[in-house]
Amino acid sequence: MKIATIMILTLITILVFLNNLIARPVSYSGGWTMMSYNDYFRNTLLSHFSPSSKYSIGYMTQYWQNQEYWINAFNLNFLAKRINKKHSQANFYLKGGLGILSTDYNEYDTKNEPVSYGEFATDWETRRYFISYNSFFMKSISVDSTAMQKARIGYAPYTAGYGSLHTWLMFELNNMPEYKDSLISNFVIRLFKSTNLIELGIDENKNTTLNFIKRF
Amino acid sequence: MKFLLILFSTLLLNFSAFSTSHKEGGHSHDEITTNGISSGEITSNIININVNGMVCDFCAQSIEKVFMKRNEVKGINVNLEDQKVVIYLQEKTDIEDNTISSILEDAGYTVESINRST
Repeated sequence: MKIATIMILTLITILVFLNNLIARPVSYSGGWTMMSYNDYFRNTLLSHFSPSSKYSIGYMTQYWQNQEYWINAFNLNFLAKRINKKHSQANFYLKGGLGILSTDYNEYDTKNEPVSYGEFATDWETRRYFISYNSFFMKSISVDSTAMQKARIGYAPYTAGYGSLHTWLMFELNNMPEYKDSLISNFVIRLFKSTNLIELGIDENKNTTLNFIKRF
Repeated sequence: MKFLLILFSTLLLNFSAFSTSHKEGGHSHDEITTNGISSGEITSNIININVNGMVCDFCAQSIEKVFMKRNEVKGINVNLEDQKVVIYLQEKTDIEDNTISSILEDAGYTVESINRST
């Protein structure tokens, strides 16, 4: 009975998100995208606008939980190369941002300083398979300097038409060299319907992931 | 464990959704050009386009949006399975092949072929 209640509540939550929520860092010309990524390390809220299908400009708010700091930054995403094939698409992206890091953590009493970050990302997908890799670095003057990389493979157990619910099962590896437990695996379910995408994940340490994307 | 159960249940529910949508989407190539519609309305002035790189709903949405902004376009059907876009034009209007290719390339996709039927 308890499990049934949890299942129903989960389903309602998913449906609510699917009905109210936008995945790629660059959209079509004139397109807006809202994204939220939440995992053990970071909570990120990002919105961007694509003046063309080659680049997008946006604003990001991000909170790093362990280090207790906020980043507010303007970012630029550039689609360096897209390869379209009959049944697949591959992308190479370069992303960068500049903003302010704010923290009141211990010795950094209410400190604000400039921060910059950059990322390389690539993905390849068909309607059935998905592979992606991205490498991220971030540097502020004194508070933090970090790098991380992430690789993901995905499989869609079925294919469905435009507007139907798509489901992906994904396995992700996260690497943050500065941590003792530097390699963490994460299982993710991606639900994708029309312009709404939501991801639920659980990693090997039983930490959860919740991502959603809405495109307008 | 509880979380895994929830994920598994969600997956099962998705498969049910798939069964329904698959039945609806199980039309043939010819039926798509005459019956399918993603947005707008169907007319008899039709352009069939085979598009490369169209793999997800975001791709489909992009293509739908850029074409539906045009005055000549009354309706559109985007078929991910066949990698095909069907444009339903107003009567006595047309969009040149070069323009269609340009619209799709600006949206991030490439054209394989364009065919017309009225």
